[in-house]
Amino acid sequence: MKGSMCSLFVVSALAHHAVAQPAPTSDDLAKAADAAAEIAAVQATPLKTSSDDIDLSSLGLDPAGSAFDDKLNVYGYADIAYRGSYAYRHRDIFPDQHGFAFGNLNIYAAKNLTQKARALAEVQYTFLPNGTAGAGGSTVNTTVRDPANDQIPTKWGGVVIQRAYLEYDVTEYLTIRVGHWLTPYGIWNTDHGSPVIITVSRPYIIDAGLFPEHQTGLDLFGSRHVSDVKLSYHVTVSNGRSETEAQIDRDNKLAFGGRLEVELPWGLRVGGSYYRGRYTGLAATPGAAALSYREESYGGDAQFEHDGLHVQSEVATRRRHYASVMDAALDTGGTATTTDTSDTGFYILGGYRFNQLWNVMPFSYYQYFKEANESIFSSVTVGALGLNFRPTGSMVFKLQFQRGKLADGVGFVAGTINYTYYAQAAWVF
Amino acid sequence: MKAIVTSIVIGLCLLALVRTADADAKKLVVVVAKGSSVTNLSREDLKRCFVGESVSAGDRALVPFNMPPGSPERTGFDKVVLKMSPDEVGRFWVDRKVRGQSAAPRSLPTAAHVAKVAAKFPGAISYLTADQMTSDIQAVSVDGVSYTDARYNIVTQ
Repeated sequence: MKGSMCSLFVVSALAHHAVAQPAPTSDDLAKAADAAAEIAAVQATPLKTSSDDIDLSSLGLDPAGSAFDDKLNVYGYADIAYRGSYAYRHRDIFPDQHGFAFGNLNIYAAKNLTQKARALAEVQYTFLPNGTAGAGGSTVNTTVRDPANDQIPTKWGGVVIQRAYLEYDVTEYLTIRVGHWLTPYGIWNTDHGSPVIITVSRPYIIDAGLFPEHQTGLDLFGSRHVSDVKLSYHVTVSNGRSETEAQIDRDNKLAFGGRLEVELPWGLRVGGSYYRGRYTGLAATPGAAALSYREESYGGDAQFEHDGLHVQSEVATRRRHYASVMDAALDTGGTATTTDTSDTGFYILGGYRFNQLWNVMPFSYYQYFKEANESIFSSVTVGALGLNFRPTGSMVFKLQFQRGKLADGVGFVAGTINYTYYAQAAWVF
Repeated sequence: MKAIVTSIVIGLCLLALVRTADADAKKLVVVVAKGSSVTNLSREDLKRCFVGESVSAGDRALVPFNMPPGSPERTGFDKVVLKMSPDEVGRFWVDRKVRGQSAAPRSLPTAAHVAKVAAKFPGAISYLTADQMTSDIQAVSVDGVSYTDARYNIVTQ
């Protein structure tokens, strides 16, 4: 025991010597002098000029040409999932479902046009609208016979322009973006792609679109560092939300929004977002009145990342103001009794990324959403557990199990409990 | 007595390991073209520059260039300046691409390429070990600390 204590003392003393660096001994000073001389020798050696054998233009870096990378970068991501769901109650409405589902095939094209201007386009290729319910309620079947390929039945799909915009850096603190862009609110909407998102399913506050997912117009943004704190902002002006917002502002009323974000050096990011605009839908028949309401959305979000720990949360609410109670009632399945309605929700997601097992991140999330349209259900709570594997930056595999509960009471599917499991592979190419 | 001798041997071995690790790490010098007005950068600006944010020094934007992934220079720079492991760096840049943000700084194949690009390409900034320096590039201090200073801690992995 005495020997062990002695060993511990000596090892501790040596370790302390290595870390705390007490007053230097003559030996240390001699070594330091040697090290200084070594550096001096490096400096004193006449340096060669850089190699003439290297041709910068062959690297696409001609100093006489563009002083920026002007290559067209084309890349993308895709994902496929296996999903199974089982409902308790209302099984006639929610039958058991299981099978594969191809989710996204998104292609990006990005290019620097000048040192201060750049363009980005992101296009999603989809099998839709095949197999979905059209506006009239009938199922869409896009199967056609291809005359160029022996008349084989071919199902055509669609293209969704996720974003297409031009950016220009006016100053170091102001960039103007014009085009069709993702609304800069919260965390999830700008993370956007399945390889980046930790879970498989999205929270209701994102699916329900409490803020518009996309807008068309101007986004002025920038950031400034004050000491170690980064302050960022967005100010947006757009056509607002509608079925045709990318081409036509049906009510001739611009929508405004903005976001402020503070990022602290120890891994915390906190933001707040706002949007105000008018929604005007499509009239059922020419000349008929279209549904229209004014909407205001507020959101707050926080994200904390430290070492492997990741916690993020968002809360959002949308208030809709209708011209009449009748309009409100029509839009909420007859449940609204005033001209104003609101949807509110939040989620919190936490996980820890390990360096083992394909960099596995066990995660858990919880969400709550209260629906303005109570004809179907009034509120929902969802709890989920899962694993996110990321063997390389470009490949992600996810497993998730979740339980969703629709609140008892109002709504024709009230009280339903739904169990869902997912396995998803997502990749960037 | 035997315990004391054992303790000393273990202690010396540990110390030797610490010293060996220190000796193997070479200082990484942040470099720009000779004659550039950039002689000092804050560590925060250096990090911002290499994580895709626009950083200007003097009258022009800095254009960062990296050493190849997996090289001791790249791994050390990412660890000390960006505070990220190679895996984390990989995830960081893939995530930025999917979000539609700027791409990673270009990686050059060798230290000779880095020296040449830093010397000739307008606004270029990169890093090299001291013995890879050439006469047409200059060292940049970080937070006012020169690489010859004992406090300088940007080193290869």
